Amino acid sequence: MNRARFLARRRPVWKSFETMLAGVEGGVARRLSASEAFLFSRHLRELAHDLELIRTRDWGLDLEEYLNRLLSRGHDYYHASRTGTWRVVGEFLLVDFPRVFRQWWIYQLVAAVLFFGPLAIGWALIQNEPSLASRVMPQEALDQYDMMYADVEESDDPDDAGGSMFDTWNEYGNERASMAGFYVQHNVGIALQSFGRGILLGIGTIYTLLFNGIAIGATAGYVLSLGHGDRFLSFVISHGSFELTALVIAGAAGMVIGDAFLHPGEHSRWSALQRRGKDAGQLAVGAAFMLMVAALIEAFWSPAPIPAEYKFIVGGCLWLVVALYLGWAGRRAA
Amino acid sequence: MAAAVGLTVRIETPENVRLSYQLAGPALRSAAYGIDYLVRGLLMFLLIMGSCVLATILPGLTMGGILLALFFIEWLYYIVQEGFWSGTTIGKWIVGVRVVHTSGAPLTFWGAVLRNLLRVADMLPIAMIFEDVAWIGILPLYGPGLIAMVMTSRFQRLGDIAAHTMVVQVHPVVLPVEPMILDHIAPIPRGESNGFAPSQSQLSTIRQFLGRRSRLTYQRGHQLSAELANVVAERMEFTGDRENVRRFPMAFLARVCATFHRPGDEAEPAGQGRVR
Repeated sequence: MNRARFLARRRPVWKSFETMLAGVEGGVARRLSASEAFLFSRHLRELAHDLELIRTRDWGLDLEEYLNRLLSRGHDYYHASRTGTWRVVGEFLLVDFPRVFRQWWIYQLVAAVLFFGPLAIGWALIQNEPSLASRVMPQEALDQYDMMYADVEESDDPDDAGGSMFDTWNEYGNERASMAGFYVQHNVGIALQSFGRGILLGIGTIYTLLFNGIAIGATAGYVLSLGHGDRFLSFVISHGSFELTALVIAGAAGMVIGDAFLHPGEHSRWSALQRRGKDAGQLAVGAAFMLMVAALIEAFWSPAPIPAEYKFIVGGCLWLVVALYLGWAGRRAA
Repeated sequence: MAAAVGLTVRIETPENVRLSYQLAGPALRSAAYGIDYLVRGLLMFLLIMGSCVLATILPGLTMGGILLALFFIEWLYYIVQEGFWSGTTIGKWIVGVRVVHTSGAPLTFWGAVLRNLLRVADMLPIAMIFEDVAWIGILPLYGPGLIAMVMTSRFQRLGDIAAHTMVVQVHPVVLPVEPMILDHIAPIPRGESNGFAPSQSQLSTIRQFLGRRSRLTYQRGHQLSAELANVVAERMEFTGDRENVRRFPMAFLARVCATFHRPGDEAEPAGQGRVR
């Protein structure tokens, strides 16, 4: 077959493939009927053949380029991953995420030690020796805690400086909604950042874990040393279940990718990173979901004017829920 | 033929189809990033403007909504667009680049998640590392990302490496037209060409050059074609007017094309052993 005859014969096919592709890529009708799908895949294979023919016979680089572009677009459409549905989201949260969590349990353990260790030490030290608090935290923050707990009537957010911005509130829900937005933006942001920086050998992640552990421990110790234990603990226990666990998980995710460089095993460092990438990303996204739940609890339930005993009961149940969820969800589907 | 250093990436898909892509370098990608940055800023601005009315009634709720939107614009802008719009964002679409997996497969959702969550590491300012060298602080963003791009063969930043992705250029698909009408050009007489027949690839090089000559200035076209015409004339031991070749190289190339183009097409090119 010579070039001119080949072009004359194949050009209509290419043209029709082009229009077909433009139709499905337009997004209006992304689905093909059975016969159309058959035709599409046939054209795709024919195009691949045409491209090879043009390459081997050197029938012009511009023609080769044209077919290459057309074919890569067709290839893209043909192999596009299924777009997510709500079922996929549910499956991820109820099955995939807890499983990935358990698969990398050793990293979760290390992250938990790096976070809760400094937290416990800071708490214990500062509760016994409150003067140490000023060495870890800025004086303004401490003054703020003094002020917050000075008048007993108002139950404000003890562990968060942003709360004082809204001091003239009268509508509970309105005020709470703004805090919910703040908690999502702030906490999820911190968790995702600590994950992302994990790729630099995990240094950024470990720093975030230690820093937040010390800060939270110091806050708890200081507030308890002022003698507001009941109010503080009843405030933090509920959302702490999701929040603190999620921070640890995000940290573990960052260490999973950071450790790929340090202990690549039998792979090259880059390919170790690539093999762990998806799991780590799933851990981070799951942690982000948990933090959103925590933000809702923290904004609407934790500061509610309800007797502390109820809050302790509900908070304890929430810790149990988190433990059951991460420990057992998705086991049966295995 | 292709140089070892270049923008072209060749991929073999599982169906044994060989595809080639043009990589997008840091310049194009920065342009896309800049546009996306503006779009995000604009979104934020419109949101704040739009919520002014609501803020007078429900200040807290509006504040919460704005903070929530800030979170979405900061973290989900790229993930949602790349994940559900086959690897493009508004900025990438305008500039004409998109993200694909290094295997040639279209970007998956988790790929989009990973490469965009790791953006924070790529974005770390160089200034944070070299704090004492003040002028480096001018380089604001993407220190690690740029370093990784320079060090990898496919211009991948750290997020790209982890997620098996690369950014390629998108070109419009246009069926090439035949570059010129050869009917009115006098072919080279057989005696002057000494039985020489250029190979198909040489011919297609000439054809392509002639097809693109309208995009060049006359001087530049002349300069480029002079080289090519000279080489072809040498090869065929052209016995005609060499002075003419020197003065009108493009016309000479067109004559070569007219002489060999159609006859070459009629014959079976494979198994044709007479090169030179």
